[in-house]
Amino acid sequence: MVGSVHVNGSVHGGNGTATEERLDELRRLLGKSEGDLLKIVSVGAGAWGSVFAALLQDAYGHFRDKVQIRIWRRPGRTVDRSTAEHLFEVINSREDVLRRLIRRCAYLKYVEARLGDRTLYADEILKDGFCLNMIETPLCPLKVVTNLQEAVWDADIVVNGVPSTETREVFDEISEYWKERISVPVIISLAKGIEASLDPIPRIITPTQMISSATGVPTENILYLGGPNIASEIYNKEYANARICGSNKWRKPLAKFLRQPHFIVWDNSDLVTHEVMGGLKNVYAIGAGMVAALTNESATSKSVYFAHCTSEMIFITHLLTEQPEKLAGPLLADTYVTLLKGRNAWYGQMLAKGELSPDMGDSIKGKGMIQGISAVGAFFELLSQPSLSVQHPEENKQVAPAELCPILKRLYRILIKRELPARDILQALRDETMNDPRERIEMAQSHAFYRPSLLGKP
Amino acid sequence: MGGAEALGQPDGHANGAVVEEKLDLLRRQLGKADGDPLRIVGVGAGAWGSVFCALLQDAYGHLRDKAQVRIWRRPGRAVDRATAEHLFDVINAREDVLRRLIRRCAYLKYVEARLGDRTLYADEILRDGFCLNMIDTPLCPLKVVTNLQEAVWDADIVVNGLPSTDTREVFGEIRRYWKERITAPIIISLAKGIEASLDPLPRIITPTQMISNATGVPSENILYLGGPNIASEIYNKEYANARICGADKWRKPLAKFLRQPHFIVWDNSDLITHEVMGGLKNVYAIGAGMVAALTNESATSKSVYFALCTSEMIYITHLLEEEPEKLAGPLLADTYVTLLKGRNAWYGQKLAKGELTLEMGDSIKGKGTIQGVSAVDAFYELLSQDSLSVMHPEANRSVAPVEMCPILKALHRILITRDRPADSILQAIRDETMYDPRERIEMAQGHSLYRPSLLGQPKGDVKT
Repeated sequence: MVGSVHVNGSVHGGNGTATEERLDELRRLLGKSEGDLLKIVSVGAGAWGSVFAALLQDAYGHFRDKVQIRIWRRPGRTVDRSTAEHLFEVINSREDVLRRLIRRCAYLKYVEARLGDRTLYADEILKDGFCLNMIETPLCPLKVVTNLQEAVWDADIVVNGVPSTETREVFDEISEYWKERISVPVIISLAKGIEASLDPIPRIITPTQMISSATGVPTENILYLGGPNIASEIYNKEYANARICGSNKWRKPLAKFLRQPHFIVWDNSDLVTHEVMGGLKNVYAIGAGMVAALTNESATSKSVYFAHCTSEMIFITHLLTEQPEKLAGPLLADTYVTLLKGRNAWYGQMLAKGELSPDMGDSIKGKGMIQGISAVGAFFELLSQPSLSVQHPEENKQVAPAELCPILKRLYRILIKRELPARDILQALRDETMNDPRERIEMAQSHAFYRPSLLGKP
Repeated sequence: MGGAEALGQPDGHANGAVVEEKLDLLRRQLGKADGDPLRIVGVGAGAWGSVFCALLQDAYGHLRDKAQVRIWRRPGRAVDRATAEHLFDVINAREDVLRRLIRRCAYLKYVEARLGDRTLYADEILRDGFCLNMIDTPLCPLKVVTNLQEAVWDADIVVNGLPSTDTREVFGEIRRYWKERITAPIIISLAKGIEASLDPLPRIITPTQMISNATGVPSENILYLGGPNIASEIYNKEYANARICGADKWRKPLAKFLRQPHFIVWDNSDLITHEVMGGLKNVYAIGAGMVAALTNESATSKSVYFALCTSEMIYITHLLEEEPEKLAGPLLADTYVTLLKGRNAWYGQKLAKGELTLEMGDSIKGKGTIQGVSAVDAFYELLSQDSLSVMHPEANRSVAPVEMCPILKALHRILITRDRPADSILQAIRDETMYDPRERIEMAQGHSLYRPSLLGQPKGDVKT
């Protein structure tokens, strides 16, 4: 309490001191000696990866002799003309940004791009703090590296900000550059997508598992950071909670290091479950967006959807973890914001309005990867396996778990098989013969459903 | 499936036949003879009470010799000039409504009121389908009775649409008119508020308990209908789910009777818990509205609030119920919509923006009673009792349960003791020293918190 009062009440020096203490503590834990910089690298420059790097740069970047924060993204991504025009408007409407660019002699290229006389690239605008997926929210300037080896070879902490669909590929490459490393890095993954493996037995593959397999870094050093993820709001100091999940050794020190006045980080030991749930909620966020668009933002219909999708999620959690109730509060809060606002829900809305179609793929200009799509495929295929059969609540027979998840089934048919239009999501809600969502929950809680193999546990 | 196929037929005859079958089934179960109409009375004309009656009137009202739907409200409530002007705009914007009023020779009084030459009253406009709390959504015409005795004396089914704060008084009066009844009526309560009784020991008093005490009607005949309650959306055929809770005897027949294509009614045996939770979510809806207004609809801040308030709600359910997990899906869906839209959340927003003040009371023109306010007081008083102490997770001492509910405490100080402004709700969610909401849930689930006495069931009683 005394510490809190002091920190909150102090002027810059006080806050600076507390910040430096946290940095020093982490440096000690990582065995960094004087003059040896703590090197933090964010891999991938989507909205959340960029914001994450920017938060760290804002908090610690001024301690130049103690820490260096950099971000890697692939080179060569061009900024199209309309985005360049929009970016020019953003810059000119923000006096602080405009002044900064002028001062750093970095402004005129935006004028040229606005006029169509020059092509900008995503990596060069990111140096000035503009993330291509989040143009409206300028960040602080960042050290951008486009060569992966140069970015990660000596990193102490790597933050995985690449989509799960690219995680394996990128970390396989990183593994090449880490062959001769002596110290083991710490890896924090922000990725929310998952894959299903059906051979030899059905199970989920998570991004942290992909990273572990690709790099050989021990699981103890790989953590997942989950939580509501409206990146622009977090950077704009909206109060947010996140949860870092992983081994005892690192999760508490990192939670402390990452925590800021407007960004609270709690810690949790159950990495796998939280990582999977992060992916699961994106599945249902797409459906929520569809329902919102199809019913003109009807709160009543959203509520019906929420009742059904939460009961499906609860049912699925009972297959995946032994004590799923522990997820109740945090999982549902994350679900709440993911359904309310976020690119997966946005994507569902656009599909329902016909402004996007599934054929356009799951990477959308200005939004980034829609992870929910591949997650629909993964969860549905996994839960369709006969070897996971459960007793049907009414009919006297065994069924695959997917049969008891009508929303998931319908999303699969809309997004993956593409044999139904988006508006068919409403049929999943309006089927009078559908079971009361309470029955699904009661069923899940009254039987032994837990399948350790699904998360690769013995 | 056969039924579904029938529903697929053209609307007129097949649907009509199905509807009449449902009505006939309920009439038989209630022992109604031919020529004796089933009398359904809505008591109280708030938005949901009015919509509920209108849904029944739309569904069954044309079967005049078999069912009669009426609604009671107090007489004398004047419609102010601004509302009359707005109502005139609504009428003239809806061709179907305008035609109906002209045809029934009921239009000109609205012109006069618009011009300020006449005072309209809530009961007379309700006859034309206008609920004072829901002017923008015209309903079908309703049979409105302003004399309570005349309304309820021979009712078979009474629907309680009163605020919980009026329930005891009104049903106390109804009892006098029912003294000589032979048949016991069925009562369906829509009310969501609760009270706390602290003597002889702390416990919750629910509207259905108030009704049972006031009327002497057996509990078996009293049911609670809960669910997301955006009345205008339900009347406009937005797809909605509700849950009727009560004894086996009536809840399934009534669920079937009340169910419509766009209004699904499920049944549940646990009346008390659902009724209490209906009140609890209104508590947190007010806070949600405040947070939304204070953070300019920040989804991130709403999420933080949702995590904390759901963990408090889950904690409280563990005090009240032995197996609270069963509430997880439906309770949270109701919470979701109540926090998103609804008058309690609306009220929280207005307070935070300074457009309403606490001194204006908890009954707001055009919105009705904000039940969350009295519920804050009730839950706070109840959970503050030392006799309910629980072990604090970190400090090695016993504390009253309310100490584990920082949002509830903050709301109490804002709304009841009024020694804090609305924006202090943000402090309750931004306290870095606050526990991870997961810890509160783990504590609730890891220890035996259940207090049967809180719902008026001492240990040893068999739950219905």
